[in-house]
Amino acid sequence: MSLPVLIQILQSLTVAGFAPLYAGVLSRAEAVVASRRGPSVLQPYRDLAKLLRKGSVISDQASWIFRITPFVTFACYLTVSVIVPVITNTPLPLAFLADLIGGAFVLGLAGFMTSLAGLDTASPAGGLGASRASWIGSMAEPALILVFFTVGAVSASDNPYLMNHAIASSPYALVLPTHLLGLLAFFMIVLVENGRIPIDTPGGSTEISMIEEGRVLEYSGREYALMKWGSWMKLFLLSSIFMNVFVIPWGLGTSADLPSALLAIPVLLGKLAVCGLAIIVIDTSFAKLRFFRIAEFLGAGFLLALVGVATSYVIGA
Amino acid sequence: MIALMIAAAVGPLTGSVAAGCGARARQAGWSGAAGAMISVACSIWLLAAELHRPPVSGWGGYLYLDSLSCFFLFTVAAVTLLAAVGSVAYLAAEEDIGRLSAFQVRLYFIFFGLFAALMLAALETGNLGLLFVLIEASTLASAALVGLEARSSSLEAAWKYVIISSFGVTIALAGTLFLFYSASGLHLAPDLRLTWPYLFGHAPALAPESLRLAFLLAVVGYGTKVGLAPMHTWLPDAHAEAPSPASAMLSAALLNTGMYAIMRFLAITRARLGDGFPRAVLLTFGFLSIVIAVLFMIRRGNFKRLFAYSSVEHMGIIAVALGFGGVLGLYGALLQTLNHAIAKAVLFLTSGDVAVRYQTREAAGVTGLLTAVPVAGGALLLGSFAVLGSPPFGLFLSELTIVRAGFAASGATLPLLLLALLAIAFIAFARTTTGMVTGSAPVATTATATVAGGPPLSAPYRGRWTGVAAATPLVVGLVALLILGLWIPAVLDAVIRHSAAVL
Amino acid sequence: MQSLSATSAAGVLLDLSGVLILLLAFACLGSKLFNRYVAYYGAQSVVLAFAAGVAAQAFHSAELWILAVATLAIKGIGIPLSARRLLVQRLDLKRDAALSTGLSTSLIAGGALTAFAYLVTRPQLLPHGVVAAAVVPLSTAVILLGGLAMVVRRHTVAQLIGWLIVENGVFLGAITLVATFPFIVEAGIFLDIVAGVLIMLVFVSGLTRQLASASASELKELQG
Repeated sequence: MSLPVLIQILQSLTVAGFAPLYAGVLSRAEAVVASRRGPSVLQPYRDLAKLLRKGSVISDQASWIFRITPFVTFACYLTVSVIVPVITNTPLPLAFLADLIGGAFVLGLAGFMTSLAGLDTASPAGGLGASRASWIGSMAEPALILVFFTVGAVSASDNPYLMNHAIASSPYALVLPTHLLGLLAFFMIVLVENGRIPIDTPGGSTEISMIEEGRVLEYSGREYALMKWGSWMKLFLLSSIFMNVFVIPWGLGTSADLPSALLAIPVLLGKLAVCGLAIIVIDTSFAKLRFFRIAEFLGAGFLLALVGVATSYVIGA
Repeated sequence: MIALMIAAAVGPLTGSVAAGCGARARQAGWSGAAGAMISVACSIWLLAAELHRPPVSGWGGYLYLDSLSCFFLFTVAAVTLLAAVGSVAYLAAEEDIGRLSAFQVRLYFIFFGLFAALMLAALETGNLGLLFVLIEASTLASAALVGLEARSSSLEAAWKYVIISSFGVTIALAGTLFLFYSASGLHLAPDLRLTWPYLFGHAPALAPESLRLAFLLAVVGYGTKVGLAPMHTWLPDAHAEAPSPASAMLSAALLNTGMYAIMRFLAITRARLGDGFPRAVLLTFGFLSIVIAVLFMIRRGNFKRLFAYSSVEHMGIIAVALGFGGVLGLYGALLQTLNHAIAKAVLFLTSGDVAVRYQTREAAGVTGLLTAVPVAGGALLLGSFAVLGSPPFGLFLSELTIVRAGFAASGATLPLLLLALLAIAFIAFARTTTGMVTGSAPVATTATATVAGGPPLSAPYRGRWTGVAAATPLVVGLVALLILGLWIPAVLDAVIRHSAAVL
Repeated sequence: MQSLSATSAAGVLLDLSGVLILLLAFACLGSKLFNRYVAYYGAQSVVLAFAAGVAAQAFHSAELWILAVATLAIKGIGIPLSARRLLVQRLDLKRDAALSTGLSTSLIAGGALTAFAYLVTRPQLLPHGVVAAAVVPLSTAVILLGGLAMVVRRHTVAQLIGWLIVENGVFLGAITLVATFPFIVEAGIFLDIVAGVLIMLVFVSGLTRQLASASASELKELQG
């Protein structure tokens, strides 16, 4: 097995392996900020182990969509894990599969299947969550596309690796207004896509706010483990895209060099700590938005990205 | 020379100073009128002196005087004089009746003098940035005049005026910025400060695109001050709610100052871009103004609003004349400016007289003016015919010149449209004013103070000189219009030709 | 005229300040609470003062330093404080939900105006040699956004602050012409603004006394 392939497998293992840790650290940190002790950072692993041992109960109203969705979403997240720069800054063998827009499509597929599964069991919480998630998604997508345009404005492509190089090689690009605006807009979208405050309470089960939780409410056992693992991986992936492409593009290994790739893993965890810090600060400082005000939130993100794209014409980035 | 220019600008401040020192209406008014007389004298002297000499420039370009400036200086100073004399009567009457407090009267004269001085100074500067500063300052000074009577309607009018005008003039400042951008290709000596003569002289070197934008912004921005539609919405309210001599100043002098600013921009633009673009812009705004003004003149209501819409119409005619261009167009525009200024001043001063006597501003409440108050009634009748362009008054000649210019410049449709609109305006306007002038006068009652039926006709002018002060500007103005209609003095003709040559 | 290249430190800072001023104009447009509206305007003036300081440093112009300090003192601190005192204490007004159109509609209109401003002032429009040419479309956009804020808001003081945002945009554009806008003109503009604000505040006080509210939607007496 050649070295790039090895590093590729290492990358996917990193994403799958460290995603629960990331989620655990976030929930622990939130609790500490709120002056509680909080769960252990390894709790998500224990949860996964427990769930994988359990059997699953499936409603007899559910169709085959309900059964295959956990596997489809998990596969989507694994796919995205091979096409974005997580521990290397040169493309890995399978990175030809998709660029940023393709990656957005794959993530969209995962969300789509989850929404369908939520509708499939005819449970009210699932329907509610699915409709809300679709409404939010319909407003987040234009903003996301415009963010990709700002990426394109700065690096003349929408390949995350090229963007990474463009920013890493020129410190001037880091302070370009276009780039900064795209950064802010993308962070807002990260918050939206992962259902963090101010959009949705992560891990909460109150009926008022169940968007993510509502859709997976009917799952149990192994399938539930896959769905939860998948959503943690989604958070991990989006945060690492955010950090590696927009904020701190340095510190990545190359695809031909195993030690540098291994070294990139702790560096990645450090960067994610920074991102997690930002998420925590927002989680604990702001209240959840009233549902219809999410449109204003996303509108603001859209506007930021729009101004970023327009500014790129003016400043001639 | 420079001393004369400064004296011309500073003259009206005598009234402000007097009022600031606590003089009452009559004293402050007469000192203001004296100061205005000084201004008029200085402006005539400058006019004669500038006629055959190159333009005067001083203070690093901040002071600049050529024939065009002198012409407008004379116009504004003349209007100031008429309005100042009329102020004496109006303010004395209001103070005696008790409708205005002594404090308000003092405020009026302070801001009146300030307003006039700022306008005259704006006409004397060659720096386009300073032009903006002075026009905006005169807006603020006149806003105090509009809101003086502190009723809810005058405050509303003052608010609309100040916010719309300030916004408009700020747009004009953005236009000035773009004009400077278009000049950025020129290499400047550090002390040259981009004055109007410099820009006009180097016009061929300006960048056309930003110049286009600059001209459009200047027309929209200063057009707000001038009252071109659709930026005219503040004008009827402000002119109706201000005290009448202040309305005369607003209508006859301030609008002209704004038009002066537009003419400066027009000169530069025409030198660089030729006739096409400026003509299109000015004709569009001009005709739009005339159409909207004529439509609104058809309503009967407040007669001061009627006069205000007539001002919008005339500013539209001047814009159309500038759009037509050529020697005839420019000549007509300038002549129309002078004639309209005098005619509108007469009309508004008459309306002040009427308002003081009849205590109302509604046209329906005023009847029998000719029999009750012959001077005011005659002035109103003749003044309205004058402002509508009937011979033998001056406006007939100027409008004829403009129509001829239209035929020369752009074929038959536009001038014929102009004539049709003028005809409709004539009918609408004359309907209201003849209704006011004819009919029977209400009986002068001293006992009843209520306004049931018809307002009592009061005799507001105590003191002989005040009554004379009320009547004099009307008579003088009408006589001047008559003279201008029958015979244009050779001096004036030469001045106007010279000024038109500047553009 | 000197020019600043876009990659020099001063050019980068001017670009960033310009974009921040634009974003604050959007924030003004999209804020419902009066306190926030005035605060965003104050923040915008502070950033403007900073940009003026950057330009003053780059061109070694003492006049611009004076203007920067004056902007900070008067527009950044003075006007927001006095507006807040007038609104909250005298008029007892904390929330101004009075908009002629909805919030989203005004934001979309603002976005459209920004795009229009960029279109109209394309960089090709400006000849070379202008300082930080990127600032010009930004200032035009801020002018248009301020105008939109004036039109959309229904309260008189909100309209006044809209006008002040327009003036901020003009000032931003004027910074780039530092060589040719003499100090007297800039100072004159400043005094105009101050006098304008004072007069307008006087009118607002008069209006509140007369109409018991200073909402411009009450100003419907004069029509036709």
